[in-house]
This record gives sequence, C-alpha cells and structure tokens, in this order.
Amino acid sequence: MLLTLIRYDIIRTLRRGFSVVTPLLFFTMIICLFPFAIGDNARLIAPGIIWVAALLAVLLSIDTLFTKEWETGCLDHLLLSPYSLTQLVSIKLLSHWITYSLPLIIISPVLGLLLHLPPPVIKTLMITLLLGTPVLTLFGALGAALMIGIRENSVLLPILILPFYIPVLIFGTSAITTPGSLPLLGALLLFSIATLPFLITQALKIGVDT
Amino acid sequence: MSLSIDNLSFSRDERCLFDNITAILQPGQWCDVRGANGSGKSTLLRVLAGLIKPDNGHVTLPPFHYIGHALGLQPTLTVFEQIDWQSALLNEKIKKDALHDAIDLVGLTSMKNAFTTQLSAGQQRRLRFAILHLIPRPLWILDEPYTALDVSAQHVLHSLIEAHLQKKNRAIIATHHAMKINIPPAHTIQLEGQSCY
Repeated sequence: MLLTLIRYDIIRTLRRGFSVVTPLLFFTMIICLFPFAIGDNARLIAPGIIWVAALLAVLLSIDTLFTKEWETGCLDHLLLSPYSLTQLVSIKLLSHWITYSLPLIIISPVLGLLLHLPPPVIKTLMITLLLGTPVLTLFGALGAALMIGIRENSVLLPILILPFYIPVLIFGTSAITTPGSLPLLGALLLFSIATLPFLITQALKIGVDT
Repeated sequence: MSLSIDNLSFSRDERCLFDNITAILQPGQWCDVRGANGSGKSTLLRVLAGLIKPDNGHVTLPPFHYIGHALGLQPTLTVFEQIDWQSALLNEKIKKDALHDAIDLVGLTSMKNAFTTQLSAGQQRRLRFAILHLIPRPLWILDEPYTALDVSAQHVLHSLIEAHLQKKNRAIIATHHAMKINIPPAHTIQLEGQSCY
C-alpha cells in the first residue's frame, strides 16, 4: 500500500509538465554560465558552484510542496488516513527527493567534467550531494509546511529556510576538500531524518487547524 | 461502535460559532446540520472529523468518510487512479470489477481515463461518491453534498445515502436546504442564534 502511495506521488509530480525539469534546468544553467563569467578560474571554485546551484535548485522545487495539497483538500485526507501523517510525509519527501534531487546528482558528474574537475573530486562531490540534498529537502519541507495558508509565500520561504541551509552548504563544500567533514554531513543527515518529519507533521497539523 | 457528540464548543477570533452541542446517533440514523452561510456548519464538521480542535467537549466517532468543500482530489490523476490512490491511502484493497461498477453507478463511465482537472465540479463530486460507495465506512460526514450537482447526480446521492442508512450506518450532513431523502433526520442541529456564554 505504501509503495502504491510512493508510485502515485512520483506519477503526480512527473505529470506536472515542464515545472518538473525547471530545477534541473536551472541547476545546469547556473553551472554552465560560471565559466563564461569567471573564465579559467571557475575550475578552482567548481565544487562550490555546483553546491550553491544544487541548493538553489532544491529551494526552487520546494515551494509548492504542501500548498497544492492544502488547497485541494488532499491534506485533510492525509490526516484522516489510518497511516500516521509522519509516515505519509516521509513518503512524500522521499518521492520529492527522487524526482527533484536525484536527477541533479545524476547529472553532476557531467557538469563536473565541464568545469574540469578531476574524477576523484567528482566522486566525492557526488557523495556530498547524496548526503546533503536530503537535508535540504527536509529543512525546505519544514519551511513549506509552516507556510501553508500564507499567500504569496514564495518570497518568505527562502528567507525562512536559508539560515538552515548554510550549515549544510558549509559541511557539504568543506567535505570535498577536507575528508573529515564528511562524517559531520552524515550526522547532519541522520539528525534531520530522525527529527524533521515529526516537526513537519506538527507544522502541517497547526496549518490545517487554522 | 458508538457515536456521541458531547458538549462541543468552538469560537474563533472572539466569535462564538457553536456552544454546547450534544448529540447521540443510533445505527441507521442521520443528523442534519442546518444553518445559514457562515454560521459554522463547515467548521462543526471539521471539528467532528478531528481536523480542528474544539475549545471544549468530546467527540466519539466510528471510522468515517469526510467530504468537505475542497474535495481532496489530486488534479493530475485520472478517475481510475484517483480511486486507487484513495483506497491505498485508506489502506483498503478494492477489486477491479467493483471499481468499474462504482464508476458506472455514479455516471462517470465515459470519463474513466480523464484527469480530475478535465472533470466538471459536479463530476468531481460524483467521483467522491464512487469512493463513498466503494469503501464502506459506518459514518459519512458530508458538507453541503448538493453543491454543483445536477438532477441525476442528486438521485445518485439520495440512493447512496438511503442504502447507507438502511445498512445500519450513520451520517452527519450539513445543508442549507432540506435533504430530499425518504428517511427523516433523527437529530437536527440548528446553528443560527446560538447563545454562547
């Protein structure tokens, strides 16, 4: 049953049309533009460029995560389901990560090569993105959950969640140069997985109650 | 399973919407919630469904279906997938045959593979009725079920509710005009001019 829910979550996102590829396109465009603006030096800051681009792409995708569900009344039905809302939220976030963040990670080696990154660095970069993007999705979802019911939230949301993204960015990029940071990024991921779905659930319940 | 609403009170923004609402429904009975627009019918039903916390009071309900103003349908799923998704969400397995029969019953046969966004408001309601029919629940909580229904859809709704009540189930229905079903309500909750102190 839960697998059916994941399947439909992904189908629904994919059917949204062009907006599904917008974050991926945005990610690719930022990275492709940097060498033109900075020239040969872009290669020195390449991991940072890719990380910032990934962060912004995730931020772009998170905007409508719960507003649509709330407007259509689907959120009510998630709450009335015999499954716990935390379970359903986790499913939703997993499918969101698969449809929006996984493509970024898959395309990142190509973009890394474009920026002349050596293959070992590309490998580490992919690992940091693999550990870091779920944290970005989770914190973004918390912001999106707090924002349901607030109109014109697309400006407020980034302001609210960017402070939480900064540690992820710091650990993510430093793990590429200093391997010691990688466990810290992993710890951050485990911490987010353990606590955030619960907090998101609470935020959604408050949103529905008003 | 018993159904009791005990001393329910709710106010919002200093305005009292309802106070001391008490009702007990026996199997086969239904409760009519009446009131003008803005009198708090929808809020009362959302409180009953547990979506909003009441200020005071207690609600004991058996498992139920809730149909609110927003129908809770996913815009990018087809009629067929929608029902499949809803049943997965309710952790119920439904047979393909039963699913097709229910779609025929509510008159959506030709729209089986249409997306929800291609359905009219009334057809979307019909889709919800198919789910009511397919997944049995001892209580239905319906908020303004007549909205956007044409005459044939109203007939479908009446026969569904009558069949539901005849099977010793219960219903709580909010309307601003009388339900044209053959079973009179066992209870009427009138939401205008409540004295709230």
